[in-house]
Amino acid sequence: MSTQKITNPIRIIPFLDIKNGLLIKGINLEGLRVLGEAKNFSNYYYKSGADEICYIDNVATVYGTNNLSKFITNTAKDVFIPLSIGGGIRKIDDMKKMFSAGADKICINSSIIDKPNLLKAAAKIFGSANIVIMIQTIKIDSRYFISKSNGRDIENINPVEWAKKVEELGAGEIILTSVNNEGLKKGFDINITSKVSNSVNIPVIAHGGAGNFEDIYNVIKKTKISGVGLASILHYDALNYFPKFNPKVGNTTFLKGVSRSKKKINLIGEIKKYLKNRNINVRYEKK
Amino acid sequence: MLDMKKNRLSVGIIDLSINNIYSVFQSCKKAGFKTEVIDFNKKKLQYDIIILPGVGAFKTGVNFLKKNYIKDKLNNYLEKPNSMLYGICLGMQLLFDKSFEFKKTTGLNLINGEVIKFNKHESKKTHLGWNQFKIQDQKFKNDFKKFENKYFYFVHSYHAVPKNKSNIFGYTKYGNLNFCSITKKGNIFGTQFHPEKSGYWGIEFLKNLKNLKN
Repeated sequence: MSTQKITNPIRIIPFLDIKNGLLIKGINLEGLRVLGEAKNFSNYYYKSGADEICYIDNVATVYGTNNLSKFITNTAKDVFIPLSIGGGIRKIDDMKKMFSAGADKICINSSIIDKPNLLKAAAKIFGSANIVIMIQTIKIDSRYFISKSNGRDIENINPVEWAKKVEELGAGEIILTSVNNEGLKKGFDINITSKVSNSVNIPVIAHGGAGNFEDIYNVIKKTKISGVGLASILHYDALNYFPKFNPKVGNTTFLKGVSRSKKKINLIGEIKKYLKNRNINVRYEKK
Repeated sequence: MLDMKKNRLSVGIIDLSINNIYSVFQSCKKAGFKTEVIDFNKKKLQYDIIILPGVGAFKTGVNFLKKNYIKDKLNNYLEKPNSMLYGICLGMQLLFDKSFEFKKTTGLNLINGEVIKFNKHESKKTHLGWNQFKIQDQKFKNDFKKFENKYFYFVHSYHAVPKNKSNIFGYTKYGNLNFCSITKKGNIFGTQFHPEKSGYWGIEFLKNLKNLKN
């Protein structure tokens, strides 16, 4: 009857795109740059007051999931908040492997578009609350579509309809990524985020586009989301605080230009303080 | 320093095989406990605290405990002085008489009460995210008061309703409902939230379990 959602504190969730244990970042999910050791970033975000951490490994499909599970285990040693992991998960066995490695939630996208029944099975075995569906939205002219490959392939499915469908199939949560806005730091796509978060009763996490505090405030205020996924805004600040990093692989041209002389601020803490001052319910606590 | 080590609480963790015990294990170590996963082939269970973690379905959990005689071994253990069983999330729910998850299933019968679904009118099926609790138990109120304005991580669609109000150690507000989020009956203790996923204050909560041992 009622679509009024009961709100726990809005979760601030760092999103880390990883590849072989390294944090990478692109624009519109493409053009990847290496930013540093992913574990340094997640430890730092944990200590800064992140409510959860989400790892996406888009190359896991190609390289297999063994390295990924080792990486999760290594993270779960010191990070005592929920860990979500996505990318390359195509079978129940992959999910089992991730859960036993220390993951709390599994994020899936393409394999559910291909085989919706996999979601049904996963929800039954692992519990709905632990299965997260990632929906990548693409806006072309004024129409919205979904994608299963960061925008390279476009499916003729409306994101709102798809969100309802995955809720029905047993999804516990939705991560809604705007491919158009991702990495641009120009704000979230409020329109589609509002439509999707209004149409389902499960939590929706908005991801893609946060450039400043006001963007984050706006998407929370104007939609019914339960959390915000942040990447560029956090990573480009955090990487200033780590020792110089020279990976042997990947595109590192960008890293050479980083000054690493910035005065340290706790950005997640600052974001939460900003939101709290504007009457947004966040988990903001001092030790 | 050596004495400090000797005085550490020893914790045994039950591996239900359906749950992820890795983070429970790591957080107990972080809290300073002498921690191990229980090998039920051992003759005696000698731990200050046994932890029953749990993510998954009630029936799967209870079947596992019964099939492997863990239930009987736990009952024997709990008769010993200074023993303590601590159930987390599903582990807390398993402590009760019965659950209505999928269909009616008998639990461990250690605390009178039942496990029921959140009312449908609460609109959300799952209570997911960070929330707080208030301590009801007057005897331990002072020991646990410092956690009352802190946040803990919850993920569950069912919640326990103890028959006896004295078994409600603490409660949490979700929508219009105050549900029992911490239970205690003698040496049996349970929390619906996951201290192992609740950051700094979660670890502090684990350390604080020693106050229940007095």
